[in-house]
Amino acid sequence: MEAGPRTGQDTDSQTAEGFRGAFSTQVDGVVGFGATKRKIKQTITVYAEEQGDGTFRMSLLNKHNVPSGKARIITRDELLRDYLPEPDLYLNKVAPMLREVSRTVDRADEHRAQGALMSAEFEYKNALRLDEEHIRATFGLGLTYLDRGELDSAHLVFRRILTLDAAFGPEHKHLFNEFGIKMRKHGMYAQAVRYYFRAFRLSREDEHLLYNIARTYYERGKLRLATKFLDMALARDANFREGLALGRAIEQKEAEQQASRGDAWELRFKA
Amino acid sequence: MHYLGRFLVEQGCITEAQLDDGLRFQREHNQRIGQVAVDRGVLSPDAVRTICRQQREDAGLFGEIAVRQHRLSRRAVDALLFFQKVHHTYLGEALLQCGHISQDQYQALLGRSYTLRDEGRVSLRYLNEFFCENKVLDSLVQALSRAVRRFADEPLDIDGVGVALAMDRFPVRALITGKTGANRPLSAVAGLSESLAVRVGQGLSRGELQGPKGFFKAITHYFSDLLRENGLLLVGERLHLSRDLAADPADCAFVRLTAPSGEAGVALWLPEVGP
Repeated sequence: MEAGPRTGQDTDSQTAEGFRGAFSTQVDGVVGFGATKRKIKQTITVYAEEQGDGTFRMSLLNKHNVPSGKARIITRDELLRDYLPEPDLYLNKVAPMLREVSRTVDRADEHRAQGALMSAEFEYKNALRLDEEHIRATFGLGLTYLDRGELDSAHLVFRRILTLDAAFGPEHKHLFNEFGIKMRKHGMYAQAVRYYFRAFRLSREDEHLLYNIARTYYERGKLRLATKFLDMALARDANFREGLALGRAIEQKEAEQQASRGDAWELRFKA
Repeated sequence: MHYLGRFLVEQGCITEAQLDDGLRFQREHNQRIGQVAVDRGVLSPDAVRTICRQQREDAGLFGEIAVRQHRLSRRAVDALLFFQKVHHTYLGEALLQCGHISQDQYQALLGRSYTLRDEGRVSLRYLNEFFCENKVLDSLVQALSRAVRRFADEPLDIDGVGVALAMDRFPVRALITGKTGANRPLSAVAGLSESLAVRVGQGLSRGELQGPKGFFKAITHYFSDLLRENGLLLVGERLHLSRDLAADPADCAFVRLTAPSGEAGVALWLPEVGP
């Protein structure tokens, strides 16, 4: 069993079918150095999407008019006070681009599911060229490299994922788990542990993450560390079924190791 | 010389003109990491030039030197490498973008079904990464060509790539082993046909290098120099006469070459580097 992190942003990231649109605002900026230094007014465009609680999740639009980067939450009053609605921009550019990115990632997922891994890479990269922080495409690209056994490239994507907070959100739980499992299968234990710890920093109460850390240590043969993290998971939920099963597996492995050590002693003694 | 392109033309998948088109697309779209850094405003053009100068002196990687010189953090280098990877277009993708092959053809040419063909099996990663990105095979072929030109005074032209070769058809051959890049073990066999070996032997007898060992020593020397020029170091190189590769042919890259006096061949095995 694998489990994704629970984060404190659960409610923020669950987007209700609320109002969404493009907005613009003007900000003061400074360009140049020394004698060429001057103040300028710069227009920035953002994408805002209403959340279940009535607040708005706002992200900057990148050069392809796709919302990208870290989102922030603002109130309806702030949005209406500081930003101008841009309906044309939304209808003619933002919405079509969002559809395009989504369709491209769907195609990539389909290729990956069929084992067409070259085409999958091509489509994931196409999506990432439009939205460099697209979480599903980033995970998909990493999974494609892992499926192809290209560990150098997978490692690069893994390091990228670590920098994306949104990758550890509950909406990507399935991909998070799949990536973790495949890293372990390829023997990328150190990376898998780093990955789970990164998620754990965002969600310290999640017993599933502690279980995943324990399981990675178990597979790596580090039983003492596996026990430590499993105990932490069971302290949060004493009836955690998969955790209890892992506990039994650890005990069994420890007993085997002890027995083999005993045999070795006996042999040495006889010799 | 573009190995994958050559291979696709030989297989009748694309024409020479389409290959040129694809290669032009790649030249126009693919960026080196320094260019990516300048475009994203994380390094000035002057800083990139300084790092490149340093790179010529100590053969380190661009990112490593930038970190060592405190111009970029490791995290920034990782981000740049990721963006470079995402924006990089392989030749197959470029041909697809140019409309010279269809999506199905692309998958068939470069995907699993292709690599599992009975004839001319080629490992997927060689097609995808090795041929496109790696300079090791290119350097080895150039080193062999240089040595043949020096001792036999004959040009050596590439006759075929990708298709597995039985290296015992080259009676005079040697295995070169060592480590390159990120401590990646390397094994390569270079071999000459009987007739070409005789021609090379005549040239060798006039110089200071003697016998097959002298010839392969020269190849190893050129190979090491060419790798260094490409930012890769060959460390701990060893030469074993008449030895063959232990690797599965499906995991090796092969190049067949011809000279007026005879044939030559190269087989290379380079494992994927683990984390």
